[in-house]
Parts: sequence; C-alpha cells; structure tokens
Amino acid sequence: MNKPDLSLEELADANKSEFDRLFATQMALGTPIAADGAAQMLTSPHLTEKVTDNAPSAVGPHITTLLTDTYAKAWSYEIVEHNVEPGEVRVLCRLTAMGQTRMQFGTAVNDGNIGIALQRATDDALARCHADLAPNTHADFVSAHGHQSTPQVPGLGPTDALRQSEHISRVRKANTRAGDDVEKSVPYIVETALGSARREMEIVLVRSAMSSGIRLQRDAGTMIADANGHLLVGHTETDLPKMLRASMPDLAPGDVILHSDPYSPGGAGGHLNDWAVVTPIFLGTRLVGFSSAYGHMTDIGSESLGSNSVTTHSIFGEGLRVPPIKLYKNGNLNHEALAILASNTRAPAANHNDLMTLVAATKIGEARVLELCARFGEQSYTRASEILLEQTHRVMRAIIPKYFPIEPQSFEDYVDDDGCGNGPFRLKVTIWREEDKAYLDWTGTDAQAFGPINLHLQESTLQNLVGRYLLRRIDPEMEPSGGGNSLFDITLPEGSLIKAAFPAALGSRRHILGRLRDVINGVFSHSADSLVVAAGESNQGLLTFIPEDATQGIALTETHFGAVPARSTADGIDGPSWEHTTKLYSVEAMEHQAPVRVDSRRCIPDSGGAGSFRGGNGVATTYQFTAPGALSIQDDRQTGQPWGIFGGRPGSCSEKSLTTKNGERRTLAPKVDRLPVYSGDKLLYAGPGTGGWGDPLRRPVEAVQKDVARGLTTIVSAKEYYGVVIDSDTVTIHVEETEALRRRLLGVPGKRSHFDFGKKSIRQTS
Amino acid sequence: MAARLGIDIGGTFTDLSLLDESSGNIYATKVPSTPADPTSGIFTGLRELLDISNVSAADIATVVNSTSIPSLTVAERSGSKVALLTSEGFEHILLLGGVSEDFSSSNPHTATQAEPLADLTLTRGIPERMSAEGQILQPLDSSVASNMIQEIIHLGAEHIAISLLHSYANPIHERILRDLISNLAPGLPVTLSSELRRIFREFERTSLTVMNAYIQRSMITHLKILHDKFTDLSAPPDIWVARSDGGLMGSERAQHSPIFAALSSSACAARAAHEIACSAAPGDALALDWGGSTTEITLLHQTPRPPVRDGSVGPYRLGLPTLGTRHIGAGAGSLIDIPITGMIRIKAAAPNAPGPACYGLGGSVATLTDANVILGRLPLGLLGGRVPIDTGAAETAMSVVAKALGMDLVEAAKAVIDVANEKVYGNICRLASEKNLDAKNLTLIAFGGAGPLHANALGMLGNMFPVVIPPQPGMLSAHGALSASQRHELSQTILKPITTVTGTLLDQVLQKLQTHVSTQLQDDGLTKDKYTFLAEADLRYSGDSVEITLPLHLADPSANLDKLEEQFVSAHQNLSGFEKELPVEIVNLRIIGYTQSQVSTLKAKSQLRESESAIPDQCRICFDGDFLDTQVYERLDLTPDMSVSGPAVILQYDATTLIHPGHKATVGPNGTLLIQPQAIERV
Repeated sequence: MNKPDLSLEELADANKSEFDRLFATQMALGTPIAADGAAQMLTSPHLTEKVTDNAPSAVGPHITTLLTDTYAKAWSYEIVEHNVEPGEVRVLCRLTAMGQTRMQFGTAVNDGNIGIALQRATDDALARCHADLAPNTHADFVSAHGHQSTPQVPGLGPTDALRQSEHISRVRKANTRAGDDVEKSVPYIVETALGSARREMEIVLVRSAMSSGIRLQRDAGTMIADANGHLLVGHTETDLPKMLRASMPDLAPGDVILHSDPYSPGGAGGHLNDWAVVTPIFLGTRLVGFSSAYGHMTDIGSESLGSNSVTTHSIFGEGLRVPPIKLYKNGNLNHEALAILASNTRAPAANHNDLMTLVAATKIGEARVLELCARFGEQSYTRASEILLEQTHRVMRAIIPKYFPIEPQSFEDYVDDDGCGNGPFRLKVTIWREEDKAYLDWTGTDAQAFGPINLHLQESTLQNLVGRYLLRRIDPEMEPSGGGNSLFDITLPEGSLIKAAFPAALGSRRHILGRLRDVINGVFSHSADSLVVAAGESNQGLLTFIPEDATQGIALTETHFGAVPARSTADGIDGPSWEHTTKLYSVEAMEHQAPVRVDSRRCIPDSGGAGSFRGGNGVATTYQFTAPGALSIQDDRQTGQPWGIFGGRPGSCSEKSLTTKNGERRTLAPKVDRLPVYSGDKLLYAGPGTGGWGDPLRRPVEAVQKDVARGLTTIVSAKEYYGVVIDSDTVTIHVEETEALRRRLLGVPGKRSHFDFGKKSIRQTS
Repeated sequence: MAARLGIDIGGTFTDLSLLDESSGNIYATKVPSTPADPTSGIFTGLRELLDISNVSAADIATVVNSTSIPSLTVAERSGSKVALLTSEGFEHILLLGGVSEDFSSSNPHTATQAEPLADLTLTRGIPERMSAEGQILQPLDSSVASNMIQEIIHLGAEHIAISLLHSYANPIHERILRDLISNLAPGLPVTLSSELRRIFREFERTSLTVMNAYIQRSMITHLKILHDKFTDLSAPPDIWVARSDGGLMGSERAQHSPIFAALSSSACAARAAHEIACSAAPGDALALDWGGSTTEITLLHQTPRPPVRDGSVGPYRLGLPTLGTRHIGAGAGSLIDIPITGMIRIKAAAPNAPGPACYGLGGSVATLTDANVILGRLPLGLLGGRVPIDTGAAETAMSVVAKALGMDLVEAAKAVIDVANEKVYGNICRLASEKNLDAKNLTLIAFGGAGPLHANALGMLGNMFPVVIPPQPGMLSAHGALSASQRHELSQTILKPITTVTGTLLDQVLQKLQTHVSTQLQDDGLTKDKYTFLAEADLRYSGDSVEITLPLHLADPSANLDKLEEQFVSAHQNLSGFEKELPVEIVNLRIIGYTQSQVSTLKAKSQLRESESAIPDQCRICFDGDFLDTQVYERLDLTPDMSVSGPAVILQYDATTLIHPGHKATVGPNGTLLIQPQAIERV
C-alpha cells in the first residue's frame, strides 16, 4: 500500500466527487475509528480481486466509446512509439480531437498475449490523452465507470460507501459550525477577491517602485494573512505568527511593521535587500488580518554598490539589518527610524520611495480586506478564511499519501561554489510519511559556506513552498493557504547551507534558492512523476557591467534565467525562462544605454537534454565592451550538468569566457566579482541548458527531424541519443536506418536510468 | 441620399450597421460569419438591412470594415509561408521573447511560448550590422545575402519578412535586401520592418513584421473580393479598414500593412463606448466588453489620451498602437471546472468548442451561460430565437458542478456567477490601479453579448454607477466603425538625453515624419485640407521601463523643449508618485495625421429589432438566493426618459439586460440605458 494507488495524472484529472472519495478513504485509514475498517479492507476478497485485476482491459470499449460520444467522428489517434518488454508493454500515443493534440504514455502488463497487452496500453494512453484534453468529461467517465486503468484505491468497495459518506458529512458539518453558518458561496468569492487584492498590491509595487529589482525583475511579493498570521494568499517569505509571538505582542490600529533581517524571529525575505512591510488590519479595535509586501531595495549600505557582493562572508558586510520595528505607531511615522534607514544607503531617495511604496501596497490589501468584512460581515469573512485554511488542509492531507512514500527517499544536487573559491556544495533532502504527516529532512546538506550563498530558511517558507509545489499541476490557479502547513514536518539542520547560523552571509542566495527546486523535483520524481520537471528549474544568472566612466553610459544589469526544462507533458522551452516575467534585455535598448555591443544571441543547439520530451536549450550571448569597466557575474551550473530524468539526457553546463582584444581567451569562474574589462574585450556568456524527460528513443522521429532542420538539435545527437538518422544534405529521415538503429538501441539491455547526471557530474568529483 | 455601412467580422458572427445619413436612422443586424469567404456573410446581412430600410445598395457611399481576419488567420495557422531575414547572430530572435505575462505564476507546467510565425528553417541571418546611431558597422554582404535569398525561395517562401537590428535608425540594409529580392524573384511579397515601425526593441518589431507578412494574403484576398462584390452590386463605395488604434486606413494601405487592423474590432467597440461615456456621465469610464469567447476591458478618459503601443495578438507581443484594451479572460462560453482542490475555476474553451450545453450544439461541460440559464437570467431563445435554449441540458451540465461543490443547482450557479463577476471586478481594479485611478469613480459601459447581463452586479461590486448599456450592446464594433475617421501615425526612435536634443533636430525629425504621414494620407485619397497633424514625444528616465507620452506643439518645436522635462517629471509624479534623480530621455517622436469624424452615431436613431422571443410579462429570476417575480420588458418598447425598476429583465435582439432589486434603469435621450441604485435617486 505504500505505492501510490492513483498516479498524479489521474488525481489531477479527478473531479471533486472523486476527490471526496479519496479523501474519505484517507480519513478512514488515518483515524482510529476507521482503522478496523481499513484492516478489514486489506483482507477483504474484494480488494484482492481489484489488485490482481489488471484493469486496463476493462477500459477498452469504454474509452473509444467515450471518445466517439465526445467528439463524434472528429477524433483520431496514432501510436507514435511502442515498446514490448517481458513484463510490460508501453506505448506513446497521440490523440487528435477538436483540432488539438495530446500525447501520453500508456502501459499494460504483458501476460504473454502481446496483441491484447498493446491494445490495453493504447487504451490506457488514450484515456490519459483524453483526460488531458477534456478533464471534466473524463471525470464524468471516471465517476460513472470507476477508474479502472490502475488498481483501485483500497476502501472503495461498496461496503465502505456508507462510512465514507458519513465522513464527508462529518467534514461538512465541521465546515459549518452551528451559529456562525456562512453562505456557501462566500469562501469561493473570498478566495477570488483575496487573490485579486494580492495582485492589485503587486500592481502598486510595479507602478510606484523606483528600484529596478522590483520594477523590472519583479523581485517582490505580496500576501494577506488571517488574524492569527496564517497565510491566506501570497508570498511565503515571512513567518508572521512566529515573528508576532516573539516581538510584537502589542499591535494596535495604525501600526505598520518593517523588517529585513532573516535572522530575526519570523525572518524576512532571504537576504537583507528584501525589505518586508506588514500592516495589521483592524476593524475598529479588532484584529482581522495582516497585509504584507516585500521588495528588493536598490542599496542598503555595505561595501559594494547595490549591496550584493559575492565575496562577503558575514551578514555584517552586507548592509543594514532591520529587526521587526514599528515604522508607524498608532498612525505616526517613526522619523528616528527613517533617519537611520536613510543614513545607511547610497540611494536614500529611492529607498524612501520604495519603502513608502511597500506601505502603500499593504494599505491596498488592508482596504480590500475591510471591504470584504463590510460586504459579508466580519464573522462571515473570518469564517470564510477559516474554511479556506481547512480546505487547504483537507487537500494536502489527501494528497500527501500520494506523493510521500513510506520508505524514506533521498535526493541531492550541488551548487558550484560560493564565490570565494570553495565548493561544490551539496543540498540533500529526504522525504517520507508517517500516517498522514509528511517529512522533509534536509540532513546531509553541507555546512554553511564561507561566501554569501547561504540561506536562512524559515520552516514555514518550506512548508508553503512544498504545498504549492504539490498543487501546481492539479490546480495551477490555486494559491494554497497555510492551512496545510502543520502536515509538513521540516528539518533544517542548524549551521547548514539552508539554515546558516548567524552571522553567515546570505546576500547571494539566489543559486541555492534555485537549486532547492531541482532537489525537490528530484526527490518527488520517485512518487509523483508527472509533477516533476527535469533539472534547470533553477538557473538564475546575473551579469553586471559598470563602466569606469559614467559618461560612457549607465551600468548594465541583465538576468539570465535559464530555459524551461522538459516537462511530463511537453518539451521544455528554448530560450526564455518560466520564472516571473523575466525577459532578456532588448539588444537595441542595451546598445543605446551601455557601452556594449552584442555580436550574437542564439539558442545553443543540444544544450537542452535529449528526451521523449526535449529539454529547453540555453542561450549564448557574445558581448563586446566598447569602454573599460568592471564585470561581475553570479552564475552556477558550470560544474554539474542539469540532469535528465526517466531516461532523459542532461542539459549542458554553463560556460563563460573572456577574449581580449589581442585574442587571449580565458575561462571565467561561475562567480566573478568586479573583474576589470577593457574596450574590445569580448565576453561569451553561455547559460546552462536544461534536462530532458523520458527516453529519447521514444521521441517521435518527425519531432527530432524538425529540431534538426531548425538547428536546435544537431545531426550527431539525433543519431547518438535519439536513434534518428538524418541526411546531412537533405535533412530528411533515413527511415530504414532509423528503424534499425532504434530497434538496436532499444534492444540494448540495461534499465533506463532514473536520473542522468551526465559526464560532467559533480558527484564523481566530490 | 447617402449611406454608410459599418461591418465587423468576428469569429462567430458578422455584425452590420447601416447609417442612413438622410434620416439619421441606424439599422443593424448580426449574421453568422462565413470564414471561407467572409464577404458572403456580409452580403447576407446587407440584403437583410436593405430590406428593412429605405436605403438601396447604390446609396452606400462608404464602407468601413473592422475585422478579426488577421487574428483568425493567426489562430487557425492559415497564413502564408513566411521567411525571415534578420541580422547574423540573431536568427533565434522569435524564440527569445519570453514566456507568460502573469506576474504571479512561475510555474513551468503552465509556461508556453508563442510558436514563431516564420519557421527557423526559413530564417537566415544576414552578415551586416548597424549601430544604435544608424552607422554602418559592417556593410551588408550582397553575395551571401543573395545566396540566402535564393535558398529560402527554393524552400518555398511565399512572403519574405525583413527585420534587421537598428533598422529604425537606418533602413538602408533592409532596402538593399528588398532590391535583391525583387531582382531574384520579381513579385514575391516582402515586408520591411522599417516601413511598419521606426521604433527600437527588436523582438516586438520583428514579431510585428513577421505577422504582417503572415496575414497579408488573407487580408488582400478579402478586400479584393469585397471590392469586386460591391462593384458588381452598385457604384463602388469607398472602402476603409479600421485600425487597432480606432482610426481608419485606406484599402490599399490595409493590404500593405494589414497588421495595423489586427485589433480593429476591440478598438472600434472601445471608440463607440468612449462616445457613449462622454455623453452619459462626467469623469473616467470603463468599457467592459463581455462576449461569448473573450472578455475585454478598456479605460476611457474624458479627454482622450494618446493610444498606447502595447497591443498583442494572442500570445504575440507586437507593441501595436491600441486604445489600451486589455484581454482579461474567457467570455460567457468559458468552461466551469472544479478541480480536486474544490475551488471554482473558469477556463477558456477550445476555439472550436461546441459552446454552452444549453445551446444544444454538442457541448456537455457547463459554462457561465449555463449557470445564467439555471438562475433564470436568460430568455428561452437568443438572437431572435435563432439560438434556442435547452434548459435541461444546462441543468445536466451544471449538476456535475453542483455535485462537486456539494451545493444544489441554484446555489452552485450563483456561486459560479459570483466568482466570475468577482474575477472581472478584480481585473478592473488592477487596470485602474495601473493608472493610479480608483475603480470606484468609474462609469461602467457594459456591452458584448453578456456584458449587460452582468453589468448591474459589477456596478454593485465596485459602486461603479451609473452603469451604461448602449442601445445595441451586441454590435458596438460595427457602430464604432461607422463613426471612425482616418488616421495614420509614424514614430521615430531617437533615444537621446533631453539635454542633447536641439530644436533643430526636433524640427528635422518631425518634418520628415510629417512629410511621410502626409504622403500616406494622400495615398489614401485625402486632400491636404482634410487632415491635421498632432505631434507627440515619448519620454522616460534614463534606462527606465516606464515611457510617458506628451503632446508637442508643432508650430514651434524648439519651444517644446523648455517645458518638456518639467511636464514629464510632473506626469511621472502623478502616475508613480515620485521623481527620480536621473536624466530624462526623449525616446520616440511621433506624428499623427487624422481627419475629424464626419459622423456621430450618438445622434442617430438606432432602429432596434424585436427580440422575437415569445415574451411573457413576468418570469422568475434568482438574484440573491431566492427566485423573485421579475418584470420582463422589450427594449424596443422603452422610450426616452422611461424608467424601469428592478427586479427586471430587458430583452433585445442582441443582449439581455438584468436590473437587480433596488436599482432602476432610465432610458437616456440617445437610447442608452442608465442603471443606478434607487437610493441615489432620492438624494
């Protein structure tokens, strides 16, 4: 039973009634009353029957009927790839209906009759394709016929139906306490309204901030919490309840809190540049919630301009630390505090403006919450937010057993260096569950670095981050509240890279924050395959060039967030990043304002790992400096390849080199601090690629040919990794040679590797 | 007798609006679109209009066409096979434009990228290079270029788009390439980026150029057939094409630069809404166009602000001049989805989806329209009974939603509609916030098939009153086309600190632009006395992303310079709340040539058509949980100054207006409906 019974795909496609059944089951298994029932189920003949029944056969007639019912004759399908192994048959199937196309794998047990097994696997794949295309119809189908493509969830036998419905009604009753009943639609409206309010707060930040970090790179966030400080929507950077318990027992109307120090109780953003403002929301004298906004300040002191050096090794070298203070007390601005803030920055006007912008954003949140209280009544609003917290709790509780294994599962990945010559550094996590509690233990993560790449994470930040991660495919619009946080038990070893001990430097945390995502993808890949993406959801390069003579032009700052890695449903994306709205600089704009010329900017062929879904290719830019100045780079993934998954190949490493006017070329370290460059020097900045997903031998031959024709995959890789032979003159497929090659490569014994870390793996060197 | 015909070709319906200039009457109709040959739908509608009016085909002197042919061509991928010539080293330019636009979502699973309309196999990087100042850094290598051109012609290119780096500063290399092409393949269509736009930022300019190339054939075909059919029918009228900024361009120019018509339907609707807003209430207004497949909002200011240049077609960022219309989501036909998180999600339906379940066209998934049917808010037949409503099908579809939400049918329908309204309201607040305005001070102009149905509820959410419903809310684009006037603009990037810009330079650039615009307008057949010029400058703090457009005095350009910086700083202060200690730059200069509109549809008398549904005196509609006896009116029967108290429903051919309890609708002099809370009346 420790293996997930329903795959994520199925879970994602299930509708609410299906979900309720699952949830009731989980409740039944998790509560003492139901424990007997669960035990009974385990031994019931019904269950044994279900488990041994290799259900895909039962889907056969249904799925084609369903497709015909849904699309009349306007659907067709094609088996793109198939693979017969002794125990299992796997097909990749393409369904075209209503002008849309979906591709999915399907599997079936190979019990000797390959024909029937192939048919079952095809049906399975079609059902998945269809589910992708029309989730609701599929859900109807599931509830009408029972989901039979995988073994059933235990406890769904008819005898249990009654108990489940009791559980559901118990939950429902808990949702509507006697006396403070709230109209059923209110929680839904409140969810929508709070989401809108939070985004409106962001608009204020973007409209009024001076800092380009907030305005252009959108390094900012907003949130709304309930009266206990529990997150309802938005960013997860502050652990409000902890902070309030520790330092703000006497909140009153008109108070506004400012803090920036990650080491203070409750923490703030990840580094000192991120200032967070919290406004407690009072209705009269009663606290009804909190509204908060944080943003990256341009400069907060320290030795380096912008307070973002890669060579500091103490928080005291990184600028001003602000513990939680009342910026406003009873509506009065604390001018003494302002004076201290102003005297600790190179840009006092910008800092003041951006601080007031953060306050203004929280005031919008406050106004919207008070409007909701006025509209529905304070009690109903409070009740609705409680229901949102309970809802998240319920959903998390139900999905945790799907994603968290009982047996501990670990994964580790590395960050190149700390900018001070040390590295690589390991990040490691182990996940498991005990009953309905999920554990994420980061023991095994390396000790904190000397350089400023450390994180000082709050447990609650990770709880929120993981909760969000688990829901991002099931319901991408959902901004889960903190209601599920108590279900996640987080261990962050003190003095480690992610829970660095005071006074470790934190300024350049971007790489670890990024790599965290790759590590989470890696560890969940064993239990939640369609949730994960290959490595590369982590590249956050930053290039800064400050000309020596300011009259030559202003400084150039460009972020190089990497391509989108291959996903469970689609190729990665070449070039742009999935992160925020980060876009590459316009070359024409850049050449106007900085003493720089860009010779070329292209995607790097083959830098995205091969796979049935190909990783997105990274971007290479050649800059030519036309005036002397100082160059700083903060990048990573230069020593360890972004891994591929489920047979997918790794993406390529990043690479930076500087060629002087007289032709001398030298390779640069991943992180470079204020390197002098001269007019005529050329910098090649090749960002890393991203990993591939699934066996490249199963990638449709036409897709490989198309990539080759477009110069995004080379002919050599097409042959070596994809088993596709392409004529170099005509760029057409040699059909017979390809078939033979693929047959031969598929026949090579050996299990496909779960991860492919590539030849340039840190694992072998460390 | 002269008449003017406004046409709006949409994906589902083609709307026609015929103004009889002698009587001031407007006749309008809606017919199904005919994608294979859009003119066939037009002529079906025209015959209907000629039947019900005293106008004959020969009376039609002017035809104005707003059209979604460009966006449909893109959506259906039915454009030309486009090749792209760009600067060497930048061949992947169309892949490097970025992903999702949403600040809040950083989700690799939902990230998408617009598929380039010029395939990489047909893209070549030309050895050449221009500097930001327009100096040739590397001369164009003609022999290499010729070989590349021959290659792409050989590969079957049907249209060649040329977009080189910094061509806005010096277009000579683009012109050399055009000459090479015309030698190698005379007659092969070519689009030059420097002929469409003289503004920096290579991604948007290249996307614009490529899309122009992609859609040109379908637009030329359409306009030629339209012209031929009118010629067969009568004396050929002047044919004008509406632009994305609400202006008009001549048919020839539209065939050359069809991209400027790409968002014409939205722009025409926003223009018409603006006229109505100005006449209905003081202050700023918000146009809400809630249709079947999309919902769009536009902020309308009393004094028209300059068009913004941020228009996108679908996922393609083009920086098109528009009236600032924002696409905020799917329309009434959007699907209702309850994922396992149990929340209410509203999703866009596939472009060719069968529509709401209640239409009985094969749709089985519940839509917002189905939820409205459950609440009794829609009549049993739409569009004069052409679309009968199957209540049973709506119930079946909605019961899935209700079951998932643990609610009964009516509770579920109400929750879904409330959430949909809340989402739209949130978008209105955000758009207002972007411009530092308060949504609460806006007048709401609601149109589109579903706008009037939701308008009163939205007004209540944001206290946006009066809510104004145009006489024919389902046909506003065609109306807007009737009163649009000619417009042409040309901008030039100069990107210089304001301190280094001399009056002479300003004068030179503006003169050049003016000559150019003048030529274009004369090509459209306008004589010099017909049009006037406006000059504008876009300014910004050095290196900043926020550009602000300010008017310039054409008569004495140097005089502008003294005050320009001050004006910019104050405008920036109003928008963002602060000044920066940074140099101010002039980014672009612009000349706009335009004619005054000869037509006002406001004064015209809309000849409304009966809703043609069997109309009961009363029906039962659910407003706030309970079904109330609701008075039913026919819009046609409402005369100026009449007022109707809620709960009421007003039916008409192209839309249904809902008046909530506690509110009343008054008929304005020009046939608009003004909805206000009744309490306000008493004050």
